[in-house]
Amino acid sequence: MGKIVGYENDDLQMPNKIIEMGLLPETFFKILYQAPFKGPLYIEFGDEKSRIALREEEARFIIVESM
Amino acid sequence: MQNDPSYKQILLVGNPNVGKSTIFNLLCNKNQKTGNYAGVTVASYSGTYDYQSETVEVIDLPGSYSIYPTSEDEAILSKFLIDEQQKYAGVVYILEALSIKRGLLLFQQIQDLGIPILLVVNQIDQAERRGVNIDLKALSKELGVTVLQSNAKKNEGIEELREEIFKNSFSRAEKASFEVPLEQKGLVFKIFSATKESNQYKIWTLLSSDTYLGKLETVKEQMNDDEVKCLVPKRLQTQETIRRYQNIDKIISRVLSKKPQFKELLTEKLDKVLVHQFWGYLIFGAILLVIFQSVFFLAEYPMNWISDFFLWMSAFVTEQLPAGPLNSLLANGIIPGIGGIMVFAPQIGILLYFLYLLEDSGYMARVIFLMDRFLRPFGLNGKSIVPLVSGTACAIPAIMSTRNIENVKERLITILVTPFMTCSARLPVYSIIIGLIIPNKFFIGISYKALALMAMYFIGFFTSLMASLILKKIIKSKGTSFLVMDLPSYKLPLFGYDFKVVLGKVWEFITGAGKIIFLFSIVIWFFSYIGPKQNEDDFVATDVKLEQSYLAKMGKSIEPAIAPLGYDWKMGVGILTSFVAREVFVGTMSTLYSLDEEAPEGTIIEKMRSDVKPNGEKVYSFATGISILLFYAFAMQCVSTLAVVYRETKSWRWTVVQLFGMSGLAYIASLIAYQILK
Repeated sequence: MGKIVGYENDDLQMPNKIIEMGLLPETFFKILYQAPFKGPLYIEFGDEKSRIALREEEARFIIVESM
Repeated sequence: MQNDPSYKQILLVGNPNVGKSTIFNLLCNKNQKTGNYAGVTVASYSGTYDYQSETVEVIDLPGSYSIYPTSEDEAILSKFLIDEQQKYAGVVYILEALSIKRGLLLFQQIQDLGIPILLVVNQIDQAERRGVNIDLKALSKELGVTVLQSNAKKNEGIEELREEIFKNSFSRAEKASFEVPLEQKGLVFKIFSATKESNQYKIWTLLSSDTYLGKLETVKEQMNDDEVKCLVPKRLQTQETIRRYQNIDKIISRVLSKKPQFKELLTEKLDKVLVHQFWGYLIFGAILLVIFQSVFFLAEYPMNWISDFFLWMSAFVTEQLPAGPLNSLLANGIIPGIGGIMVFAPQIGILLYFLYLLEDSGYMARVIFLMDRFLRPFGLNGKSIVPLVSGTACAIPAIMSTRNIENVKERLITILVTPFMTCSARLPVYSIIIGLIIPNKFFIGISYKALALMAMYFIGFFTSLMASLILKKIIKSKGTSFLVMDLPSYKLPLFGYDFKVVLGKVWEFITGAGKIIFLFSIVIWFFSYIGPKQNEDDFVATDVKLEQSYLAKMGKSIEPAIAPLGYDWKMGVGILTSFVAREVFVGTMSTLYSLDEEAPEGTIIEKMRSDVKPNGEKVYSFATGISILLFYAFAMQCVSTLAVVYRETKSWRWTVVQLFGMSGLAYIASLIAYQILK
């Protein structure tokens, strides 16, 4: 469980899709699964319990607060 | 057409996986593929229906999350929405009740562009099961549009939608939901006065798009260097998205009510196993195994019926028509040639049907999740698994389905290596050659022939990975690679509908291949019927022996090039004609052997088996057979695929590289194999 607080995106390398898909500040999320060998993360987030697959590299752009 | 009051064009727009394509099918009753995996609608499809006094053309556009495209298929949507605004009457926007928040982002962007729009909330029952209640009346008031509800899977709400389209219930927003921030207001106003574009948000989208979104050059002309330098499109996009979501959150808080507890959905239960670190892969492997087992064993019965039917037809024609060249062409050339393709219809159909069911159910997104990590070292994306798997049916739709791969390099590699996968057109060739060279023996219950065929599938997959690895080193990287992908809820596939679609596709394959084979049978027959003149008076000699025909002459002239691979001139002709399409090999060989009076009697495969060289050796020896198999595994023998590759890459260079790279590899591999084995 955690909460998104912001992004680390000073060099603008973060794909906009992350925000467009709804991974926004103040959103609660849960990492449910991860594919083996540090594969993509399976994240459930928001009130709608949306599900999204995200690589670790992309997840690093997101600043979170653990709960 | 647009001025005709009884004719209307509308667009279907929405996020991926919201049931858009299903609604399209219900509206238009037109054969079109729907899918539950992001990006099945790879191109825009159109269909029509009549309602009361008007004809409506519906254009189903690829799904997207925002007006700013990140991949080729999303770009199709944005271009269409902005450039073709004069043509269509309005947008029907489909929203999935469970992901209402995400859906409203693109909705409001389109609204702000001043495009007339109408909202359909789909699958409201799913949201209710989750304890979520949406007040549609309040939503309609908040957004200032007509809101309808539908349940596409149960065919509900379609008539109402037709009625509202007929009544032109599309509306334009009175006020933009997104205000241009103060910092950019001056610039937007400057462009507004120069270009007379009255929609402020449209000017803003031109400024904040880093890819194509209309006539960016004319906008840039209005800006001085400082302004161009200070403009960071990506930052503007981020700013817009976050602001819009703040606004959407407020709307949602007013229209949505929730019960505290809800049931665990099927999707959550299934994913505990299906994306599991161990079980997930095991199940994926098992599913592939079941598919390929069915392709070979389930298909065996209908294949035998078809084969028997064509044998009967051949015999019937032989008896009924007077003996002569025409009889032989029909009975031994064209009929077995077309029959040779028809036999594979059940296999192709079963394979396609399974693939469609997998896509529809939402499982493909999980496969991408599972495979991403393993495909990345090869320069591919997790999303490449879909083209690779569907490449086992046909490379053409597979290459088209690469459009949702955002990274240009990963997409290009996927396009270039997909034709290595064993497509269904290779099956007829493999079956004949394996039948000729592999003994009818069993290894712990599994036939050698089935094992040989499996090995061919493995070689195809292995080669595409190796080719990716090489291409990864050669192609320069453009843009960053990423995987941010929605994992849709599982849905029950539309079994009956998919079956209908598959039948259509199989029929397309048969008629397409049938035409080519028919044509080639006649051309080959013609050139084997005539030969160089034998006395002064004739122009050409007719009714010559096969060995003295022009065809044999042509075939023999290429023999020096193919003899090292272990082929005689007949195989050479077969391989050359296969460059149009691989399956033509079967038709060509049937025609050639039926024309050869010296060839022994029997079915084509028997004739080929008993064909001997002058020194008594078998023509189809083990070494020659393996050499042919490898040639067909690697060579780029499909004009249609080349055309699609050119269309998708827009590059002659890569198309030519693919043609010669694959065919060169085929030549070398076959050469080495034959020289070692002979």
